[in-house]
Amino acid sequence: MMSGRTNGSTRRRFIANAGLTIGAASASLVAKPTLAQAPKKLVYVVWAFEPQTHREHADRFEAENPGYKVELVTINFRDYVKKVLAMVNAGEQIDAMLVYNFHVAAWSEGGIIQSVDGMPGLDALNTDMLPFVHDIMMYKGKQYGLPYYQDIAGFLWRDDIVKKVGFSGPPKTLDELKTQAVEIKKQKIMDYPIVFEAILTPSSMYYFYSLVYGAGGRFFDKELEPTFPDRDTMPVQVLDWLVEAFQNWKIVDASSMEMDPNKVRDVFAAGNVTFTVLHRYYMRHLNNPKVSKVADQVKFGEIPAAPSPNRAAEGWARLYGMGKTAPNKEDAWKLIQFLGGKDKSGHYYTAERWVDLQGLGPGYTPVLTSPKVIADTSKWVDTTIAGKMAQSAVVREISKATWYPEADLVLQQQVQRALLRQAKPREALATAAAKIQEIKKKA
Amino acid sequence: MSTGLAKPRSTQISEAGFGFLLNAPAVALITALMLYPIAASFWGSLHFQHLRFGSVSQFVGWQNYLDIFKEDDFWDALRVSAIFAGATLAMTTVLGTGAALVLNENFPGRGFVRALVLIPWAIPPVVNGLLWQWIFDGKVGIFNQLLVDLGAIDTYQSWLANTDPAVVLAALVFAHVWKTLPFSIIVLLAALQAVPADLHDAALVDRAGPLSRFRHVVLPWLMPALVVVLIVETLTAFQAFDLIYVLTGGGPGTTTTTLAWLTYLTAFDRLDLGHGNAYGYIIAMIQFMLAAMYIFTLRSGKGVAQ
Repeated sequence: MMSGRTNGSTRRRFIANAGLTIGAASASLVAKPTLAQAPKKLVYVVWAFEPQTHREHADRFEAENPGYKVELVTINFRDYVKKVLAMVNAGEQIDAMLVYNFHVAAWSEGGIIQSVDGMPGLDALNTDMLPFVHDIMMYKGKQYGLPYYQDIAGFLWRDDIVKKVGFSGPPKTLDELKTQAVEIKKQKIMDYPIVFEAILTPSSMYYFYSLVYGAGGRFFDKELEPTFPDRDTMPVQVLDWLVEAFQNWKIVDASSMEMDPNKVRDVFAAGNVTFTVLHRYYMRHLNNPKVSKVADQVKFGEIPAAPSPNRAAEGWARLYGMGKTAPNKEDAWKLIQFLGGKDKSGHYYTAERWVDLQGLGPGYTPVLTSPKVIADTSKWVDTTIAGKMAQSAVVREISKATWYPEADLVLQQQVQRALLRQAKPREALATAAAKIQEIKKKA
Repeated sequence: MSTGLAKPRSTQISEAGFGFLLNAPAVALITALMLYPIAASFWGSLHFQHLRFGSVSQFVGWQNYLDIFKEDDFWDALRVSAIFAGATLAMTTVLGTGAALVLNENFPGRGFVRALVLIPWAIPPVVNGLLWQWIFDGKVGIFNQLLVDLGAIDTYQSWLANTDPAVVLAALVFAHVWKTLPFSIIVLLAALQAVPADLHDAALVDRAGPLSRFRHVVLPWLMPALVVVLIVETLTAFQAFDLIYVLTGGGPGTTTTTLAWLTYLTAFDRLDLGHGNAYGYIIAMIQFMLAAMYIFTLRSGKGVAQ
């Protein structure tokens, strides 16, 4: 019996010990992840501009925040909007993404992005933000992101050519621009001294908007009703000049209608152009002797136009927005705060890097006015003039309308029709105005 | 009166069932990959679906179709599509028949030339677009260089953003025909090879000339193949998208905005899926009507080989 009890006791003890061992092992297995949790995944979606820099920024964020792993999704420019919308509508996780300023309204209404109001540290960042950039982030009183970069478009000219043909400085009006371009043509220096990025592509046509804003004209009133062609005649006047420049004076290259901003930059850098209207940040490329034949000869300034109190440069910004499908708003904000704000040491780390690497305009005054940034930027652009132009920059009036993409396409189509003489400038713009009113009504 | 050969009813059912079972995977696949998307897109065309407004889907009946028929853009695009399709059809039919007649003759290196003709057809559509983009480029295009060398023009021209809409459309048609012509040639060549030699011989005995032989002997035999070519080329022309995407983006202005491009703009640029689906069905109906017209007209004509 004894032995039996002993045996029984041993067996029970063995079972009990085994149970404890298994229990302890299980507990340790269960406990392990809580002790060293797998990092949380954050999805960061960007268009394909310098993806390696975005990756470096994501890496830096991960190093500063060990609990997170950032998955970078790069989408080509042409498909960016479609793919982002498809991803969000399919419920795919997007924590941070690049957003065009003209999509803030449509994407907030459509549930693609969400407001960052109330997030910790937002107010402090806003106090440093350039006023027009902050305005771009806002829609219906709510803020939808932090700045990726801001920029303006201006007039670019080849200083050496202008002086070579006998002029002391760049043209100050469109008439002077014509005179100088005709002279360049006459002296057989260039067949077409002017090119514009006149390709039909979404949210392009900076040259036309800039020429109109630079002359003090506007396109829409506060109710977003078109003021062209008759209430504000500047768009028609500018288009009249452009048609003559393209068709009669032959001073603008007709290939302009095949050129996007990058192609204009490349043609300019190859030394085939004297005048254009382009983004400020392209100046860095054009005045870089490693990639440009015309380095140190390219200048940036105000649009040639008669003085006007409404004179302005076209400005815009791109932002880091928060996806509506972000699983956790606080986690997503941490990434956005780093990308569009400061790092843990209190520096505008990414903004400074974008200026340094690509010349992208920072959205924050302390970065814009920092001696280092001014010194670096001054190597390729006149920071005083560019700074002055940025102060008075205006954003496309309808960029905060949900129907902006449709209206923008219509305006581009009609401008091209006029340039090709398929319609007279006033008639083309009247058609555009009517179509845009229809689009607005339907929206 | 029953015979010993008659199969029991149950066996016949099981054979039919067995046949169905054998076909079931294919039927399931076709249903999943073709019928469902077709039905879903038709259902979508009866709804307000706009990605910019989130996942809202509201039944609107035929309203999307009515909206489209009221739009000037639709009629403009239909006109451009008709011109584009008409020009490509004329070119592919005439050039295809001519090339097929040449390739049907005996000459040294015929096999090599026949293989060569197929190359454009084997090139992916987007690559074809990029190829022609370089050829027609207003700054560095080889087409400009060729014309300058020949003395036809003094300076480089912008062919894809030309002031004359006909020039831009002609450039598109040329690039499209280059890609699709090999198909027509091969189909027509196959038909030519089926023409009985006896008929040629009989026509020669009757002292028929080359034109007369072509009209009374060859053409009737080509008709069924021509119907196929016309239908396929019409479908291809109305669906042409890759070239427009790469070369012109529907511009300049709306010069090259065809129905297929407008469908793309509506569905994938404006993200209006309801109207985009409706556009798709309108194109399909136009193609269906044209195909029916070809079959009815050409097959019911006199002297057509049936």
